[in-house]
Amino acid sequence: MAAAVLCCSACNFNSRYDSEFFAMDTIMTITAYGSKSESAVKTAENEINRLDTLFSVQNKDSEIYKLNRDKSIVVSADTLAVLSRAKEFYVLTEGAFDITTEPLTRLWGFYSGLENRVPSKEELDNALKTVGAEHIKIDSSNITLDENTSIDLGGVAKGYASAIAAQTLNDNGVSSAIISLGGNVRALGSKPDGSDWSVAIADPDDNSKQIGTLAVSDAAVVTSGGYQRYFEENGQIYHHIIDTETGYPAKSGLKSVTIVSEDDTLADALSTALFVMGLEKSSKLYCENSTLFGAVFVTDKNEVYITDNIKNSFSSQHDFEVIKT
Amino acid sequence: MKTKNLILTAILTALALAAFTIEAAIPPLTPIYGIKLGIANVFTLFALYALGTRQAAAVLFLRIVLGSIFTGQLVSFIYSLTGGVLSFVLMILLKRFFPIKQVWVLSALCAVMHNVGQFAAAVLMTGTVQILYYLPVLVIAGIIAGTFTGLCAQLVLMRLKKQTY
Amino acid sequence: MKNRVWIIVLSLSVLICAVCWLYISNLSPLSQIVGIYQNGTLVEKIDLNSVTGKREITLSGEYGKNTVLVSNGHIMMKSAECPDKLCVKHGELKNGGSPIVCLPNRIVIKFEDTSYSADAKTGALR
Repeated sequence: MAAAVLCCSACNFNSRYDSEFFAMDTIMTITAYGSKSESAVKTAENEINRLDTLFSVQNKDSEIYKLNRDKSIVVSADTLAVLSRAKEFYVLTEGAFDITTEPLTRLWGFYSGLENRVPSKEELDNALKTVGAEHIKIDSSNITLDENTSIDLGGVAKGYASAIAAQTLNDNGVSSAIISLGGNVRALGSKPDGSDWSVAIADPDDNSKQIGTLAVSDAAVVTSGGYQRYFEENGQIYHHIIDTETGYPAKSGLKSVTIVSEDDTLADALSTALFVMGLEKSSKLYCENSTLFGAVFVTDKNEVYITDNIKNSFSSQHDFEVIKT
Repeated sequence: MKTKNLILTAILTALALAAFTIEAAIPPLTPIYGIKLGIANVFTLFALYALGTRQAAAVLFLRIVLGSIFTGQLVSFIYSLTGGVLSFVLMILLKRFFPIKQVWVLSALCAVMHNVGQFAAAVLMTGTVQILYYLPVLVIAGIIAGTFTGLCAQLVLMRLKKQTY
Repeated sequence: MKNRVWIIVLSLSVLICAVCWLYISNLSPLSQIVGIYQNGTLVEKIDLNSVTGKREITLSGEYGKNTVLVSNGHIMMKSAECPDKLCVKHGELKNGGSPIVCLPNRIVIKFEDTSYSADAKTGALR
């Protein structure tokens, strides 16, 4: 009897709300617990849609579209925040993370409505001249781009959005939720029973499988991999993560990089940057910033490397090597 | 007599708690949640046969409450309590059919009841009927673990049979 | 009852349960209830185990039609008129795998019971 009563009371405080919606060219899911979960999730959804209309490269009403067209505009606080952080990450990763890759991505045809193709060396060299965060000038909320420079927030927008979504949920009385913005995962608090959320990392070779799971609470988990978007031409595979040194898809010996961090925007940016940098340079960056993030790497030879600050929360069928500070 | 009884109950509770805590600290034998030896039950069984129903109840429920406080979370407390109540009810109902020589049988039956009870709680709490899938495994695990803990209790009881408490 | 009788009874129970376990684990996976969603709303729920013969479900969206093929225990996107056809390339929906997603037409096909997978998966979607 006592047990039955306890069970029911336990069921009641776990009211759960699931939402699945489309934004930022991807599919998003939010699962939140608590009596206020439904209204909180709806508010968070609205926030994400609002950010989507600010950050979209394709939407003609977005601030980024107008900035790329007019090269100088006054932006909203959110866009300003993302741009400032993007510049910060450009410095942190010594240029491996760059939002000025829009012309390169366009040449490779990685925007919807464009055909994928391999650009000529000349086209890429021309485009590379416009690339680099030094071509963005931030003067309070007035942003100016150099001529021919265009930006794409694809590498940070979802990270920033997941941070805002988590904050919104929290502000609206939800203390336990899991958010996935097209595979950018954010855990808010821990599960209702107090245990950690388990986040699987997709196997780059077969997305229906996983290379392992991470137990996290109050953290973002973001993966970047060449397998996520690519095309094939003459037997050669070209993926969507462009190395700004060469203008070609990054060939760093990695299949995917997963970042775990309390800072969603950083996690999003670093997953791309570390993929471009490769294992060796990434390990060096980790050693200097081990309090900021943890990472899981899958190499072209299918070896798995993990940084020592998150190794205890990782469980996997695979063998893995630990990167020490 | 009363004081001695009280002290024995307290000692058995402490021992059960120690066994429970140690068992919770070592990694599980199998990846399936809820399968473990349950060494703490040796002390409950011992108390039931050597001291009596009320003492055994004290050992069991104090151990569950304190053990959950020391090691776990609310959820594991609810599971433990459901399993504990059901298996204990079965234990006192069936005790008279099982002399000391057959404590292991009683223990095996109660362990099965315990696992089934915990699972019923899990099904109720998570609302997923699909976990019943694991029922046969839990019955097997209950029989094996129950037999083991039952034999432990039985051996001690038989050694001490001629003594009085 | 004698000890020997009990040994036999309990051994038999172990044996019966072992047989049950083997039998159940050889049956099709835990749950075969699949939901087809468009724009976040449920279009249809199907128990793949109770499907007899083959069935096609057509969904239309902004980018043309998608045809879902359902047969006993299986579901896949047979054809799509959207440009990238990633949902068709995804192949069959696998339990524990990622859902079939058509981004242009906002269609998701997934298993309804996810109690055995992780809470979330990173890196699986575009």
